[in-house]
This record gives sequence, structure tokens and C-alpha cells, in this order.
Amino acid sequence: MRRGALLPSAALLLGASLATSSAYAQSDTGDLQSLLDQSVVTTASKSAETSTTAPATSSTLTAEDIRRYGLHSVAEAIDFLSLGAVTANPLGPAEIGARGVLLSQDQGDHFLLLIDGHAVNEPVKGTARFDQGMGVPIEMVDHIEVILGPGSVLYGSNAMLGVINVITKRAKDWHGTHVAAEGWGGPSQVDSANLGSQPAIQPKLDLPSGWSSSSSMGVTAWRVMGGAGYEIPLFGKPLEITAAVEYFRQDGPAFTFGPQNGGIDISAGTPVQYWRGESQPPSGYWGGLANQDYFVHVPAAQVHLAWGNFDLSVHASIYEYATPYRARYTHPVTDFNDPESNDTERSLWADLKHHATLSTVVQLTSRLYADTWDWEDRDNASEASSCIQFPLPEQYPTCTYRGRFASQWVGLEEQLSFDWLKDASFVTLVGADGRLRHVGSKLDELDYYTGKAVASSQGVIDASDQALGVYAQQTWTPARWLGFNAGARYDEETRYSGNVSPRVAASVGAWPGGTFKAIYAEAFRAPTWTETNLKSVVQIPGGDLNGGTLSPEHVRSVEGSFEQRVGAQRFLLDVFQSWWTNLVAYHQLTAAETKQAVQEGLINGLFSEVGATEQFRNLASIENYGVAAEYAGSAGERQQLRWGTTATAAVARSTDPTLPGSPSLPLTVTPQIYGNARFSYDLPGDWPVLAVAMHWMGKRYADRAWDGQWSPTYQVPVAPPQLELRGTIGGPVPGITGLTYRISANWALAGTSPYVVGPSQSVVYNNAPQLAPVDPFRVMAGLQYDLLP
Amino acid sequence: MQRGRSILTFAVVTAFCVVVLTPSDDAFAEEAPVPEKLQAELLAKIAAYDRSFTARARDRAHVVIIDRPDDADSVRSATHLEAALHELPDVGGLPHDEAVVPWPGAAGLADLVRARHAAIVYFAPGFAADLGGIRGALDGVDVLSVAAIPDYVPQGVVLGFDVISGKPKLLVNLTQARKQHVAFMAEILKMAKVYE
Repeated sequence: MRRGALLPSAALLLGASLATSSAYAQSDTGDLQSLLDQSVVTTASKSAETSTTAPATSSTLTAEDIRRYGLHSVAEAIDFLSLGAVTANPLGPAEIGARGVLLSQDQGDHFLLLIDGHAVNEPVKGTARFDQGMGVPIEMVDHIEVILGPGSVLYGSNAMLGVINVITKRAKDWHGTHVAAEGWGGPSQVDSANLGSQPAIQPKLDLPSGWSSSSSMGVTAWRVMGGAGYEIPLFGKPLEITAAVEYFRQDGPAFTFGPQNGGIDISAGTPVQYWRGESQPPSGYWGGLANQDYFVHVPAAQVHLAWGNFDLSVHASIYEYATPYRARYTHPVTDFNDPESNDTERSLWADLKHHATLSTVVQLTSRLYADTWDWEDRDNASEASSCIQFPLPEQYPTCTYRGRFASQWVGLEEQLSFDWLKDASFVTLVGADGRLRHVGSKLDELDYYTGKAVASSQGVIDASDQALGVYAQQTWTPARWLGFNAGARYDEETRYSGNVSPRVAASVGAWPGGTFKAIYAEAFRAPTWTETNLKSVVQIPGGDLNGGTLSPEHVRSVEGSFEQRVGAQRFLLDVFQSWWTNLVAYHQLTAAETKQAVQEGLINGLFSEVGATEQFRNLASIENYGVAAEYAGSAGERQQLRWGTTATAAVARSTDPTLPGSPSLPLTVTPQIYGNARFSYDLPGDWPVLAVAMHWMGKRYADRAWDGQWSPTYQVPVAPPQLELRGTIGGPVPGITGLTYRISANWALAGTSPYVVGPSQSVVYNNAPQLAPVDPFRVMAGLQYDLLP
Repeated sequence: MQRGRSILTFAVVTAFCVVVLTPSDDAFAEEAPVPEKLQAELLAKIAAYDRSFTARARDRAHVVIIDRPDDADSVRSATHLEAALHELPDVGGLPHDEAVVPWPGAAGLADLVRARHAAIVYFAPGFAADLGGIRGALDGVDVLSVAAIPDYVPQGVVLGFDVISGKPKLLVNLTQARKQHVAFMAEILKMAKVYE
């Protein structure tokens, strides 16, 4: 796979280099093109600067490239375009990592997500979504800044892997009214478990009568978008309005799973029942065709208003989704193929900014923001032993686990910038960001058929607190070729004592187009409220049993990079090392700890089985180092020919320092080598743009590789290397002004991803581990109409 | 607890209102999207692609930067550009000097440009209301006019800079360029967003 992925990249680079050489023999505007190819970023230091001198390694993913390469979400843009960052698709919300570190099941809370500078990660679970669940119509995205490395110095919690800032278009760049409709088609059923070749087991599984393993084709997803960008006068001054609404819907494809033999249910004394209405007695097998419970529905709206020195952003979205398999940490007891077991996240926020230049030295930026977010998680379980609070005996109960989480916060950020020498060479930035927050959660176990609770609510959190961060940053540019940036941020909230996040960076322009950078940075992640405070029959509040509380996770990093620009070509090499400590992880209480917890009243004695209770603790540490490289360029008078490729090789090993002598292990789900390559050509006139992009990853250990005790009974589950190819053509529809089309096809060559599925999450069930399937092929076709006034 | 939270919320909102209502020079100040340092580098390169530039500037490129002294954003942007240009070895391949000059009014603009033998006249932010006058004043004047604010270009300034999709972009008003005897090479026009 490695060779297979690299060969196309090498051929691409060779061809591109030849084309570039030819182009530059005819043109002498390379020096100007080099300047125009630099990205202007605002995220790294909260001021506009070129990416070359910004105090971080960054990628700018442009709207043009997003459209050109047939991409539809930030997660896809990251995979196919960015340097160093990568996502994983568990057939649910996309997971995200960078530089060889991806912490599975973290809900995206190790990357800080900003939308127009507004921090999205919420405090209850740290949630941030990078796929369709983000709820920002992709047509409204102007560009995405992906800042790699610790970034808490200006942004506080969550910026451990980096900061992603999604910047939406201004009215002048999206003038007029725009509508778009797109549909995805391909196999509507994938026999990923190869059940078609196992006729003997089929009667024991959840398969429709007359089921056939042969694939049929159909539409599996579609979306519609409407938006507009206008300037209208308001009190004699222009009011810029940019707004878009979108509805995205995906249903399928259907995958087959299993068979996994669950054996005898210890509560019912019969084979385990995995779906409601199963023939009596149940077969005890999990698996079949999941044709109802893989879906995503997202209505969303994003609005941006700009009037004078004011900017207002408003966002609203609902993200409803279902993942078609059981998994240890997300849906451990869900019925098979149950569309009623799903999740709904809702987000509504507003962010008002004001910018004032108080004098030639001082600028003041104020930001007032308010967010409300909630998440409801519903899991129906017909496995009797999973309905742990049902009154016994009840042989075939179906219980509904319902988790509700919510948070609301309002905050004010004030930021002062002092340009002491009035020439932007020595600038001090100071700021303070204060928040008032309310968080809540409640877990209920209900009788599915009556809807009534079978026990009192668990996991109740109803708390309010304040969080404050103060920061300072000094930039100094003593010469045109030399720049320094140093800063620190102090964060404090009620659950932990203060945390300091420093950063020091220097950039040196060694020769024309050549820049060296060195950066030291630290970042932290405040533990989520569900980690620190949630208490249920299977979980006690985070910390330890001696009254200790959870501390923030912490990372420090050093990196050095070299960038060379020659005309329209850019080469970047980045080496990095980071040390992660205090990582929060599940700990299963030992026998002694369980006894202590019962004595202290932390656990109900009825649920004191050893190993049944867990606690979040500051357990793990990671050492991570590696190298990343990027080469990109363009050729032609209008940059008709474009190409780019990135590659990252990183080592990340996790240890548990509380267990001396325990081995350090590679991180699960995380690829240690990965990258992308892309190539496009603009045919002349109204002919289409042809674009090919690929994204590749090396092998990845499955999420349960190390805690599933597979070896020596079974091999440790590993997802094979993956190569994803996407070809796209797009252009104007002849004869209809304003109407454009886009058609793309996506192939994924490997059939599985690094997620163990089904009830056999560990070797104790005596089934070989099964990995989640991958959608192998999908075609997208879409039309967009731009009505310009 | 609820009462305490309400008081704090009220305090936060009040603080914001006080801050945003703090008197500033102009509640509708304009801000250049491209950092002045990058504007200066672009300008220094682009000037060489104006076929008339060398003849206009002769042996030294005089750059006049016009600001509005009563507008802090304007003064700030002008001084940043002056400092950034000062760092550069050449503008359009020529030695150069730059001076920040207060807005002389549309009537005095052409005289100012001629008196200072300016090859380039740069308009800092703050001139949105004066673009008609600027356009008229510079008709027939041999000078490359440049704007910090992208919106100035379609309204009569020859060259400007914008950021589109995170990348700097050149803006050229070709009609006005002809009136001011600015003759950009075709390669530049292919890179730019052109207004006619």
C-alpha cells in the first residue's frame, strides 16, 4: 500500500515539475505569483499575516479547491487537501487527529473548532463536529485555516492538536442568490460481512425475507442549499448580509454485519436477543442487514451580517444521526438495525464583534457571544442483561437508555492591541475572555413499550460556573526577514486551578522565498463535565477514590519548519515532537477499589460486580514525533494546472504511568503515515475543470486493539491501508447563464476501518473481531444556480 | 444562584455595550484586508510590470501615501505601509522614497502628485466618500493610484488588493489605468480581477 500510494504521488510531482519548468521558461511573473500564492491567515496570532511568518504551521483550504475537488465537508477537505491533519469515519460523526495523534471517541474535543472565530467546542462533552454535523453549508465557506500544534496561547481549552477556523464568505465574494442541489448514488447495499456466502447462518440473523447479497444501485444521500449575499443600505451605510440554509439527508447504504454469537443471556437464561420482535427463542446471533439505522439528517443555517465596525454571526443546526453497529464506548447495547436508536444534537449560537481603532497605537476588539447546545442519545436494548435496572424476572424486556446533555454559555472577550512604534513592528496584544456557563445531563432507563422510567435518573448534572482566560502576546519584527512571537494565556475555572499555556516562535527569512521557523507551544484541554461529574450505576465521578479531582490534559510541543517558495511552487518540511500528559481515560475499578467505592457510597451495592464500574482518571501519556512535508504549485497564465501533495509520518505511543512497566503502545485508529495528492486542469472556455484527488493512510490499529485482549486467541485487529480516490468534473452548463454542474466519483479501495463492531468487543465472547465497513463507491452529481443581480 | 447568574449576565452585557459605545474616530472605519507589509511587497513587484513606470519615475520612484489625519485607521494604515515600503530595496526595480501626506482635497490632488513627481499615489482607508473626486482629479495625470480598500478600485482607483479565499488578489481598474497612462502587461491582467 505504501508503495502503491506513493507511486502516483511521485508521478504526479514529476509531471507537475516538468509542466512548471516549461511554464516558467515562458513567464517571468514567478516572483509576483509567489507573493499571491501566500495565504493570509488570521487564526495563529489573531491578526492578519502571511502563513509564511505566522507562528504556526498551517494549511489554508480554499473554497475554490473545495469545489474543484468535489468536497462537501470540512472533514473531507482536511483529508484531501490539508497538511498533517486527518479524519476517521466510524459511520458516525467523523473523528479528527493530527501529526499521528487521533484520540478516538473524543467527540473532536482535542481540536478547537472556530466558525468565523467563534469557538464551538462545548463544555459537557467537548463536542465539535467536522462533518455534515458542523452545519455550515459548504458553499458559504470562504476558506478553512488549519493551524497545527498546540494553540491554547490565545484560545484556551481544546486547542491541543490545533485550531481549525472555518471562515465564511463576505457578501462581496458571494454576491447574488444561490441555490444548489446534489445527490449521491451508488450501491444501496454492501454485503460487507460476506453473508451471501454463509447460507447456513442466514436464518439466525436479521435479514429480510428473500434477501440477496447482490448489490442494487440507488440514491443514498442528497442535499439542497439556498443562500444569498447582498449589500443593502442601513442608516446610510452598507449592511452586508450573507446567509445560507441547507438540508442534508443520508440514508444508507445498508451494510451487512456478523454473525457474532452472543451466547446465553445471563439474565434471561436464553440466547441473547439482539432485536425486538425476534422469533422465540432468540438465536443469540448478532448480525444481518443494517438497512435502517445508518442515516444523517442535518437542517442548518448560517448567517453573517457586517455593518460598519460590527460583525454578527448566527448559527443554527440540528444533527440527527444513527450508526449501524454496536460499539463499546458509544452504543454498547443497541438493538441491531434499530432506527429509533439514534442521536440528535442541536446547536444555536450568536457572536457579535465590534472593532474600534482608538488611536494610531491602540485598537480594541470586543466580542459578545451566547451559545446553547444539547444532545439526546437514545439506545434501545432488547438484551435482557443490558436492562440492568429492570425488575426481575422479565425475560424479554426492551429498555431505552436515554441520555440528555445540555450546555448554555454567554461570554465576553475584550482584546487590546498596542502598536507601540506605529509601524506594526512591535505589537502587544492583551485580552480577557470570561464565560458564564450552565451545564446539565441526565441518564434515564425507560421501558421501551410504555416509555416509563424503570428507575430514578442517573448521571444528573445541573451546575453553573464561570471560566476566565487572560492572555498576552508580543510580536517583534526587528527586520524584514526576522520575526518573533511570544505569548501566554492563563485559564481558570471552578473545577481546576489555573493553567498557563505559553508559546514562543521565531521566523527567519534566510534567502528569497526561504523561511525557517521554530516554535515551542503548550496547550491544555479542560476535562469535560461528563468526565468530572457524571455519576451513574456504572460510572463514578472522575478523579480518584481519595478525593482527587481530574486535572486538565496537557501537551507541549517543539517544531521546526522550512518553507521554500519559487514562483508558484511551494515546498514545506516540518519536524515536530510533542509530549502529552494527564490524558483522561477510563479506568475499571479493581476489586479493592470497588469495595472502597461501595463503602463510600459511590456505588450502589447492587452493581458492585468487579470491573462493572469505571472512572475517568488522568492516566495516559503520549510521546509523539514525526515529519510532515508538502509540495504544491500551479502553472499556466491563469493557473490552469494545479497540483499538490502532502505526506505525514509520525510515531505516537501511549503509556499509562500509573502502571510501571506497562508497555507503550501505538495509538489506535491513528494512521502513522498518511497524506494526500491532487491534480486539476482547467480546460479552456466553458469546458469543464478536471480534478483528481486522493487520500491515503497506512494501517491503523482498531479502537479495541489493546483492551480487547485479542491476542493470542485472535490477531490484534488492524484496519488495512486505505486509498481513497476522487475524480471530479465541473463547469458551466452550456446555454444557461449562471447554472453550473459538478459530478464526482469516490472509490475507497480498502473495505474496513479501525472500529471493532458488534457485541464482540473483546475476546471474551469468543468471536473473531469484526471491523466496521467502508462505503466502497459513491457517485455525486449536482447543479448550482447563481443568480447575480 | 439564578439571581447571581442574572446579575453577572447583566454585567457582561453592560460591559460590552459600554465598550462598543466607547467613542472612536469613526464608527464605520475601513480596514485593509491585506496586511500592509504584503501590500508593499506586491506593489514593489507590480510596478515593474507597468510599461510606463520607468518613464514616469525616471531614476527614483516617489511614493505618496495619502491619509486622513482625523481617521485613526487611515493614519495607522498609511504609517504601516510607509514603514513596509521603507524596508524594501526597490520599487519597480528603482530606488524609492515614500512620504505620508494628508489629504489635500480632490482639487489639490493632481497638483500634489505633480509637485512631488509621484510615480505612485496610495490611498489609505478613509476615502470612500471621495472616490468620485479622486477619479476626476487624476484623469489624465500620469500616476499609478493604489488603494488599501478593495471597494475603491471599481470606483476609480487603478490598483488594489483584496483577500479572496485566504489568498491575496490583485484588482485593476483598466479604464482608469488608461486614463492615468498606466499600462500593465498582459501577464498581470491575467492574474488580476479586472474592472472595466
